[in-house]
Amino acid sequence: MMRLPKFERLLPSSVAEACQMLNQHKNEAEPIAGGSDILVSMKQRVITPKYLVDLTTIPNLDYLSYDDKEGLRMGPLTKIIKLARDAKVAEKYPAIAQAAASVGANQHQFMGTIGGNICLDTRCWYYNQSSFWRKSRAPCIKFNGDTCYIATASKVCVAVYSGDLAPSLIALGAEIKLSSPKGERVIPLSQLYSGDGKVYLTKEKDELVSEINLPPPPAKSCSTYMKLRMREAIDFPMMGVAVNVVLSNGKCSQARIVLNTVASAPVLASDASSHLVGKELTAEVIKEAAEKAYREAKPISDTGGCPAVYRKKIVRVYTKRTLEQVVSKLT
Amino acid sequence: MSTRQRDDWWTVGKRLPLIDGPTKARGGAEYAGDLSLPRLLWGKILRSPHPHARLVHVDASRARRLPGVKAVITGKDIPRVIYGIVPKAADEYALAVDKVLYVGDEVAAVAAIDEERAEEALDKIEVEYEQLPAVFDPEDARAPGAPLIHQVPNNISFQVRKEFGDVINGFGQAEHVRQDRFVTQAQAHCPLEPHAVVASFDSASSRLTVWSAKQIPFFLRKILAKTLQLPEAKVRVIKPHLGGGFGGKVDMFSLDFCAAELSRRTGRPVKIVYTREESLTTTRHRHPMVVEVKTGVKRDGTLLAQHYRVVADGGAYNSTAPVMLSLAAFFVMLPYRVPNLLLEGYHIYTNKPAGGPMRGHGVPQMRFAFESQMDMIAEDLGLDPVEIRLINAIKEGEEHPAKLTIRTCGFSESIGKAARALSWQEQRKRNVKNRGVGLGCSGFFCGVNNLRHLGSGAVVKIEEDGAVTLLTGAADVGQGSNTVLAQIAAEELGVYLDDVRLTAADTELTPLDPGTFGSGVTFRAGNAVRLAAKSAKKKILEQAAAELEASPDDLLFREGRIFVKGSPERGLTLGEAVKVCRYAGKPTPIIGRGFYHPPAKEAYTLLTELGDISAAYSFSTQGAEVEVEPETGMVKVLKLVSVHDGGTLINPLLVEGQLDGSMVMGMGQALGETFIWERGQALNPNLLDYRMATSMDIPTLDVVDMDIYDSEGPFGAKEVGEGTTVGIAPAIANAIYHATGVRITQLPITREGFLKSLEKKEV
Repeated sequence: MMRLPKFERLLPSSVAEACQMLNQHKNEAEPIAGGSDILVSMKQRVITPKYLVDLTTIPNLDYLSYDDKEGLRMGPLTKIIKLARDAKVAEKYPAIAQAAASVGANQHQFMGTIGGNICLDTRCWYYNQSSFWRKSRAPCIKFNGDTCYIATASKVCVAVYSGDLAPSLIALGAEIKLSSPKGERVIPLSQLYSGDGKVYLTKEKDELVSEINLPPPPAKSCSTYMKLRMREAIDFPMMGVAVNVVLSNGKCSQARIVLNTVASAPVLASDASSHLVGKELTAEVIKEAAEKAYREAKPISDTGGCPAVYRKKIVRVYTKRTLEQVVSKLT
Repeated sequence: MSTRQRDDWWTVGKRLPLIDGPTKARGGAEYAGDLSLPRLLWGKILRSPHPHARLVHVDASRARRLPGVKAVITGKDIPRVIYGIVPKAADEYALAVDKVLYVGDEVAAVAAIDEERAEEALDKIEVEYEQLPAVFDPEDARAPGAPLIHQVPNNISFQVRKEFGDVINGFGQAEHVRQDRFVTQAQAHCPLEPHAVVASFDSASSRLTVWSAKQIPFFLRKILAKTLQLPEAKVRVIKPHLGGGFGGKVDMFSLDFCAAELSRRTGRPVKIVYTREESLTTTRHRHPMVVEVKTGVKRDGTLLAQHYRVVADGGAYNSTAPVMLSLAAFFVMLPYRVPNLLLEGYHIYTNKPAGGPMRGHGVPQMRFAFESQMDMIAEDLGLDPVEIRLINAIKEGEEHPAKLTIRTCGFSESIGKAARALSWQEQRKRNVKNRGVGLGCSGFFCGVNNLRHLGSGAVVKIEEDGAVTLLTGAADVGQGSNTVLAQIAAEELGVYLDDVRLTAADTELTPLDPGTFGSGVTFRAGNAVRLAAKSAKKKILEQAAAELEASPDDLLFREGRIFVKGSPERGLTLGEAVKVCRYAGKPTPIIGRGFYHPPAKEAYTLLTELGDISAAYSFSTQGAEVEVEPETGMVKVLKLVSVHDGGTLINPLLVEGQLDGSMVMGMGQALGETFIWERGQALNPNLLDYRMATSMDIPTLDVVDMDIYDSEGPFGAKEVGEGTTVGIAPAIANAIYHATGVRITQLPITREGFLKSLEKKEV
């Protein structure tokens, strides 16, 4: 068994205090919520923070509240299993319920939180390895080295983003509230991700996600998420497609197709999405959109042993399937 | 004995839960890694980050100075004795002496007061390596000019040749010949419990006691003693509860020697527990193989001749290479009648972790090749896969071309039953697009050959408290051999299972047993236990008969009593019977001794001679029903079927566990389990990326009953632990062919590879 390195657990009683602690300890502290990801990285000595700021001691961050006008407000410490099992979420935002139910295995869903999942570190199998394993190579870019072992010509890290919730949240127009010692700001979730595998989040180190919000779904709308994985449990996504479609007068008035695990951030397939707008979603239109999504997806690495070429092919298949699914539900 | 007598059995043939089940379920079972002793030290091993390098300099002085570090050993500090589970293939040092041969090869070991300090000490050991050219593919390794890993020409570490009949003539008479090439991958055992050991050397008595997660306690004793240059009599090996082995705990590893040596140096007990990564990448795995098979048949499908050429990627060490290749050769001689056969097998060194024994041991690769080719031949000839198998199936009592004794054989019956379980006729006729059914078959042995150390002993004591004490050397690895052996003793002596006290796998207390491998435990140790129980029974019978004024022939042992048949009131408890013996001046406790040594020849002898490798053979047919998703290349296994002629099932509940596990392991071999290596280093050395099926991925598992009685096995039992693993991969591959017309020749079947094949076919 791998052991955790030594660390000190800090117990903030508010978000503000947590931010303060993160600010005070700069690069020596990391926030921890469910711990299902960070503890593994620590056991592998991928990261060895001196302090863990334990967010679970902060009260009132675990909630789901829905309102027809306001939409869904989610506390960042809400367990993923709650999302997966909430009837309102399943009714109003099926993509979120599906994505939540597809996270890891049941145990991960019970431990993991929404906030933790959206901030999930990018992954690469030259990075997520034990310290012994990594001794066979010089450090990669994500470890402040010079080499990317996935894309040898790359000057930037191409580790992939693999959180299951973010693509669906983005497709549904989620916004997040970020709190820091400087105050609060609200940004679209899509802006949280930088696209760089190494510094993958745009937020400051002392900023915390303090709430996640979804607008109420328009009348004739439907969303869904489909995840490529080799096993029915445990696996991170090797690719994923989240779609959200709004119809009015039989035509698509709004569409978002968000691809997962094809880059260092969730990717909005904008050509594919805009191709749907203003059209009746016929089999032909869906096929064309799937083809566009396929062209837009540019996976580089053989994530989890699943070749990039294959993952790209499945973008086409799953885009088609997800669109067919929402159309059949809406008509 | 007729099978009807089975109705009279008392515990044998009953679905009884594991005798240690409640202890395990409550978390009370102690595994090697759970053990603690006063003053225990933690050991850790430093490993090479390079696939092939010369050790220029190892400096452990900084590590030794670290507070809390009690000992550091390198290859220079441990006796320079080469070891190997197969003596003639020994090629390994406990710690590297002058070269490291794969990423993970052991360089040094430390013992410290806790794990943290042990880990810290590893970082302080300075090693200067001179990297050497490395070779990873067996074909490259054989090529002229390839770097030599051990000093053997062309890196060929071992080769076998097995021939019988007249192969040239056989092919000459053939009306149809095909030659195909199949490739298989490395597969890991993945026992729940990683490798672990606690070693305690008592300086005062110079005695070493080792608690090791090992399938072979007596081999460990012998090899530990030899390697560490201790008298064998001063070494005691105890196997605690074991959390699965599947062959992965047959071999010795660095932790066994290092824990013992570190304990010898410090005078304190030392524990080493491998991480999952170490278990996956520094122990053993199923050998990747390339199997070329040429087969000649008559137009009616009758097999005439076969020529196999097998190249196994051995990795950095031999491990069981000679045995593995021999088994590969023997299990193409079953379950079909092949009158003329030639097999040439090669084991090649590469700079990768070593292959070794794993459930099926060299056989699943061979059967994947031929069971696939069997379907191809059937198609060439316009025959049904069931039909061609029945035509060639070996039958009970028939003379085997390699002189194996086929005393009992339920093979043809198993084919028929598997076909029925898959609704074969309808499914093949209906031809639903992307749905298919397929078969794979196997014959296996019941305990390997007749090497002298491969006999099992047992001692049965009937005590004055009326209970029975059973001493067996057999190593329960979680499959339940303790339960099965206790059942055999309970059956013979008519006591309740709960009244059998069992001590197993302790080299100081229990009789010699080779250990758990080669599917011989129930057969070999079971026979020994039965003989021991019979012997004890005989010693008590005469006095009991005198006391009851009855003829010994009229006495029945049942419910913990001895009584006159038909008059249960005229009887004694077993405890009373022992007292009667004592009062009559007979020595007590009543002790019976049993030893079973299978009547068969030695495996290597059999490479040049004809004859039996085992005292009995099991036969089985596996079936698969699959559904294919043509857009994604996903293969969904809907159902797996196992029809296994394992003779009498001593405990059908445990047998089902074995067969279910075998089917799932076979499915893993077919569909996803593999190591992805880069310069000899696994990119997926963890159970996230090495993808065993989860409980969510397991299809319907259908175990179909067979009813065979083999007179050589205890109560008619034969093998069930390995054979079923063997036919699953080809059954799935054949079902995929039926579903799509795509022939799989390489394992594992990945979605991307399969999708490519489907696309190619469409074009």
